[in-house]
Amino acid sequence: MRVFDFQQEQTTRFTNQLKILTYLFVTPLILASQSSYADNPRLKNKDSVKEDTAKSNSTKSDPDDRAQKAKDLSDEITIGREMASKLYGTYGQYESDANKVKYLNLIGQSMTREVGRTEITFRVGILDTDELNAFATPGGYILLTKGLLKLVQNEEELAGVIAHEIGHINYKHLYKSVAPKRDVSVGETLTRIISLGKADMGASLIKSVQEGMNTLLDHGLKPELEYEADQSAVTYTWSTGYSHMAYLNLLQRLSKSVDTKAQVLKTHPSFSDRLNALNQFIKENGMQETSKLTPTKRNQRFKRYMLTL
Amino acid sequence: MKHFKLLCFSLLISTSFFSAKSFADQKNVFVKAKSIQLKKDANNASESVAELSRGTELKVLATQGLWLQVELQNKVGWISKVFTSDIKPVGQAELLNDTKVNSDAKSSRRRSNEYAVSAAARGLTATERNRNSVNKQRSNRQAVADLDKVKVEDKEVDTFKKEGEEK
Repeated sequence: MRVFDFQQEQTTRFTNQLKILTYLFVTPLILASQSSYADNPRLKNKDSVKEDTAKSNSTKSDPDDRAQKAKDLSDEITIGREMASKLYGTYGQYESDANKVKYLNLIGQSMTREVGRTEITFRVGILDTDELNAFATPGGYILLTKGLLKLVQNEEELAGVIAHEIGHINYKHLYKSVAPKRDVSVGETLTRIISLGKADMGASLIKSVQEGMNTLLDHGLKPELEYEADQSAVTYTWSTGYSHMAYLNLLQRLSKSVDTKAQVLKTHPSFSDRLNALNQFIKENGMQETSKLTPTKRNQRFKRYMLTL
Repeated sequence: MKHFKLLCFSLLISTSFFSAKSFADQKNVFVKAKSIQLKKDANNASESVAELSRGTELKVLATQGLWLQVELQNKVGWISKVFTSDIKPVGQAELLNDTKVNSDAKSSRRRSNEYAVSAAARGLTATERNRNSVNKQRSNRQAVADLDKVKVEDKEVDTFKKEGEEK
């Protein structure tokens, strides 16, 4: 016969009640302390929200973060400049009327001033080759081949080409895939010691440059990154007063004139795939044509600078 | 079993409550463009509501394709996403000088010898360095230096843009 133990019954009941209370109240409190609930601006007064927002968005509030950003930018520019020098070394520098290069940079700046990364100085140069191609290196160097420039028919199309390359740089497509790792390897440490500190990330930067060149010249970027750059081309031109449809016209013309074995097709998706993706993007975003005819002055200056290539 | 059910219930309540807060999070963006118009409607041809300069912080109210509906000092309008940035824009000189990081041409030329330095550290001879060199492409740094010298002033861009809009 079971003997009723009143005290044990009370203890058990109390324990159960304690457990219930724990589940219902303590668990949420534990979760609250772990989540970002305490940082929800809705719960704070306006002044502290402004202060927190300013702190989180200010580039001066976190010295370590700012220093890291500066180092990353410095690496990016160094790698990009070296890659640009190799492209010039491979294809040759097109030396001609300096006004041609300035004209290209005016087109570039008229867009990058509005849509470009503010910490980058974008520059546009010309490579002395009849190959049809355009390159964007990290750090803001855009190099167009003489061959491509000869195929372009107006300033609108030229703006589209440059805008495509601006997109690659804005999104750091190439730099993200070749950026040097922050952790310093044993070999690199040894290099620095022996070189008395003069080789600042030399080995890893050089490796990044080579990987970047392999991407540019051999296998190209992933197709989705090229599609993203194409979207940048139409978006940036459309947003800065150029005709975005001109870029599509150029791609269509390239699709008909480029040999299937051309270098550009080694490093880019097919023109038909690019055109399909772009037309879909334009339709989805309701990008109405804002400039059907190339304004007179644009026509005149394009002919003045580009038809003598 | 009963306690297990209670635990699950309280966890469910807690999770849904705290995840709901994310919908209340307001996002701010910054104007990246040097100078841009805040539009009344989400299209390029719409009339201007205000002029915005670089660094201006905007509160995002809604998104429609490539456009953001934003609020600034009780003015509401639309701006294309391409003119905005999630972080406060900073110039190159400001960022690099502030942290004393050198990225000029001299520094780049110094780095051009680093492969030789690191190769020497690995004990390679000159022949091996050439054969194994990652610098298989020739470099033309003078061409890059020439390109770096091409300067485009703001006023020149203003004139260029204005001229380009003439019919």
